[in-house]
Amino acid sequence: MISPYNPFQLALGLAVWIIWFALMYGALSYACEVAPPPAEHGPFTWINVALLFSTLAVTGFLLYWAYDCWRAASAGDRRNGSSHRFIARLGMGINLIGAIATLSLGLMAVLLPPCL
Amino acid sequence: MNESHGKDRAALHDEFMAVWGNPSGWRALTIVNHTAIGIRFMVTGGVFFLIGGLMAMLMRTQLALPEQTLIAPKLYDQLFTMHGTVMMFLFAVPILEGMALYLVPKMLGARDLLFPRLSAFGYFCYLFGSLILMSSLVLGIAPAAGWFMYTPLSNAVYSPGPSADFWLLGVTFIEISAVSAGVELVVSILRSRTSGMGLLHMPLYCWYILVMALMIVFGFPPLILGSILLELERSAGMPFFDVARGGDSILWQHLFWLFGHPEVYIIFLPAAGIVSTLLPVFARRSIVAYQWIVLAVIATGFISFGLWVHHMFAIGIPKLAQAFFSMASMLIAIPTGIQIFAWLATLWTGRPVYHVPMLWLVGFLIIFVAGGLTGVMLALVPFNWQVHDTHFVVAHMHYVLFGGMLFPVIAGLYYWLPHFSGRMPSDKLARWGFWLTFIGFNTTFLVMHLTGLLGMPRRVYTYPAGLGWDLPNSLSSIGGFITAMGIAMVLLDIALHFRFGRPAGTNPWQADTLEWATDIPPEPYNFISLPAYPMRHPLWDQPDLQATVAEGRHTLPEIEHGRRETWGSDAVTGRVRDIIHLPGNSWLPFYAALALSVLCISLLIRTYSLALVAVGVSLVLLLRWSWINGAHPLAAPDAEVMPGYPPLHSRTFDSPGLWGMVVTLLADGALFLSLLFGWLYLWTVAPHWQVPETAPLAWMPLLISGALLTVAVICYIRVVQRLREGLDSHLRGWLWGISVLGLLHCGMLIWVWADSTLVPTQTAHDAVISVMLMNQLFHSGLAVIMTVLQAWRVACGYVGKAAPYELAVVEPWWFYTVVIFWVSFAAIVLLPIAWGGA
Repeated sequence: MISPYNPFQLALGLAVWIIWFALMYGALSYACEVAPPPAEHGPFTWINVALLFSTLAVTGFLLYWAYDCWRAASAGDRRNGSSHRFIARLGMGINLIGAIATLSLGLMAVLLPPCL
Repeated sequence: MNESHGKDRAALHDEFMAVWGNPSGWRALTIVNHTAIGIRFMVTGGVFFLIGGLMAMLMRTQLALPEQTLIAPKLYDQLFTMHGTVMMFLFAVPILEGMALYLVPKMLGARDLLFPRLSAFGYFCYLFGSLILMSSLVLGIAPAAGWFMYTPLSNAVYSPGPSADFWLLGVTFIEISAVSAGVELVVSILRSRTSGMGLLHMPLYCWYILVMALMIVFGFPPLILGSILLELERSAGMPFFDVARGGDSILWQHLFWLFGHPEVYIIFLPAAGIVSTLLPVFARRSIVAYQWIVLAVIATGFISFGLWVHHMFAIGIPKLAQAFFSMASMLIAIPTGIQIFAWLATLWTGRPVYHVPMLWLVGFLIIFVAGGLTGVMLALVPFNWQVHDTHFVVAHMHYVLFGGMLFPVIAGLYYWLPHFSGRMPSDKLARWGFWLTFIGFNTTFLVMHLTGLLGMPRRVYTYPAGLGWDLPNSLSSIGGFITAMGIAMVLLDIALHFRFGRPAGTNPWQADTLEWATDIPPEPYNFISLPAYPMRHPLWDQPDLQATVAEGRHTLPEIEHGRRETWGSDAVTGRVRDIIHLPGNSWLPFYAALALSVLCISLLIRTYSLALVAVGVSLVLLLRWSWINGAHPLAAPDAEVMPGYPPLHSRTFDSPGLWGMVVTLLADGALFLSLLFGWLYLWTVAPHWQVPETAPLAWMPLLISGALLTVAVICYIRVVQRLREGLDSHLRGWLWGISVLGLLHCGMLIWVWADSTLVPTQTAHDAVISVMLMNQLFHSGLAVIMTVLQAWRVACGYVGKAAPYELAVVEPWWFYTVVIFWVSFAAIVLLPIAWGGA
């Protein structure tokens, strides 16, 4: 995990989200191409379970990182106080938005069959 | 008189003009200053807006009544294609970039952008590319396949002749300009803020532009790649999008919308930046929730890359995938909503004054909220299917783009008009202009939602009477002409104000940001001295800043050395780290863009020998450009700075050039990833994908070629590391050795290719591999050329221990080249083996 004061925090959470999203979409297309589960199984398929698992894992990481940034923003940094707190606060927001975006997209896997 | 250097204001001005002054006459083509280039972008973009608007008026005239025959179907196809293309590529992005190029350095307290020659080059690429594209309209062979050029309609079978080539080559040429400006703006915002201006003090407009510029860097390459592939298909027969030969026409849609949806936000964000800049000034209080807005802007930038498939809901993808993109499309309303509530709260808690720019801002708020709501409606898949390809979508798009972009741009135009000219516009004419545009716009497009809901498809040149579309179409056309009158009124006001406008004074709107601390209109150097001001509202805190800056009372007022200089600062804290010296006026950007336009035209007319000459000339010009740098006599031959000052950037390892190279490679990486995506997509999805029975490339020589490249890169990294340690013995020999290794790698790669069984016109499989090999050879070849050049510069004494930065600039290029080699190797050699194929 990079430091909560590192400026890459301004992109990290949402970069993880977009990479996860692209991989998930690609994996879904691939899985539906090579091993599509029967439509009558509805959302109860191995593809949905795998998507949900990845969703929860990524959401968990992003929430943890958001918490880490929040702690750092509260504690502050003596050397570069305001600048670093600014980064940590924004980092918290970015990670949190990334987590919300991941969860809200991934939960669709509970509702719909994967390849219909 | 400033006691510190004993010179009065006029004397300082004269000395600065001797270094920073702009020439006139033909030599004005050599100007690289950001103020002049920004104005050129805006004026040229404005002209194209009028041309695009004229095309819209022609279309509205045709559709005003049913069954009209004023415009033939073929011409109508050209008109709607060119209207969209002109408005998106020739007007919206360039005018916003021009505004950013003009404003950003001034807001940051800098004297210029960090790559001034790149700004000028970008402008000429834009101008020449636009002229090439527009010439097709004059010749009657304009593109007619829609502004998104869907395949197979745009392929050589269904769009024969050069019409689609004009689009593909012209737009790609223009995109060079956009990416240049993107790189320029990212690096300038991060590295040239005035002393003490940390990220947390940065004007909101610059945050918006930073995100927009990064979006250009990542968003434009997929379309550049798509255009190259489609042009290769049309001119060389390489079947990337031809289903029968293993391609897939849907791949074009993915590549186009991977660019196309972020493009909407690339246009919206700078406009929203104007809103966030102007509203606090007219509400007479600081913006509410600065940090929330920054968060929302960054979130918008990222989420906009996750929506592209919502333009493709009707092509037949799984419902779960549609649900992902539907949800992502709704998510983006949240950061947009944050900004709207922050703007409303600023107005609510402020003491607003309704000067003319505020009228346009209020108009924006109303129209954009409505456009945003129909956007959420379109994110719902069933509704999207229902109104797909109808006038409802046209209405929504214009609410978002006209309301979301043009209204703030005109607000900004009125706001900064005194800055451009030193005079104020006419209040009366301006109000007429606003109300006519606002009423005309809503008459046109509010009604058009109904036309769409009644089922009228878009892109039809006429319609039969009696379907209920007659009245709404007539109303939309009347509205269109009222809008045109409004825009004409605005233009008249602007034209007249240069002569009749009252003098604006120093800060006519009582604004807070640093651009109003320049002279009005500004001089080419922006500031005699650079204010060190770690606050968000410098002019509210210190209203006499303009006078003290001009008197040279702040930092870096020395000019006797004859260099164009500005502060180089830390990307986060804004602490000064070095002095950045900037190049002066030059013919090179103009000539280089001219050579590239010859290349573009020769590809259009398929005269490939001329194209090769143009490539050679361009390369020579660009290498000459890179030659006048660092310790070159025409750049900064001595490293002398005032005692206590930081070093010149060319005497450090962390120059803006390094940042520029890294950002350029991000764009390059986005293009490579798009190519990789295309390869994997076709491999997985293309209905007639064909893999040969035997591997087309000999893997062992390819492996040896990669090993040679890897050794060259390791050696190069070692050379730079030694230089960092202060060791430059045998530097030239090392560089020559690395060049030889790189050359051997290139030779081996060419041999592998020549010895292969690839037939790129036969299958998409072979065509994609050929493009990957071309991409690799381009990067490897350029790495060798740059290293040879460095060895030569070492011999001339321009590069070495004292001026090391150029070697550090080339290092990421080598690193990137070796990375894409091994990724390509994995994709074209290892993946098929793992798959069980050839």
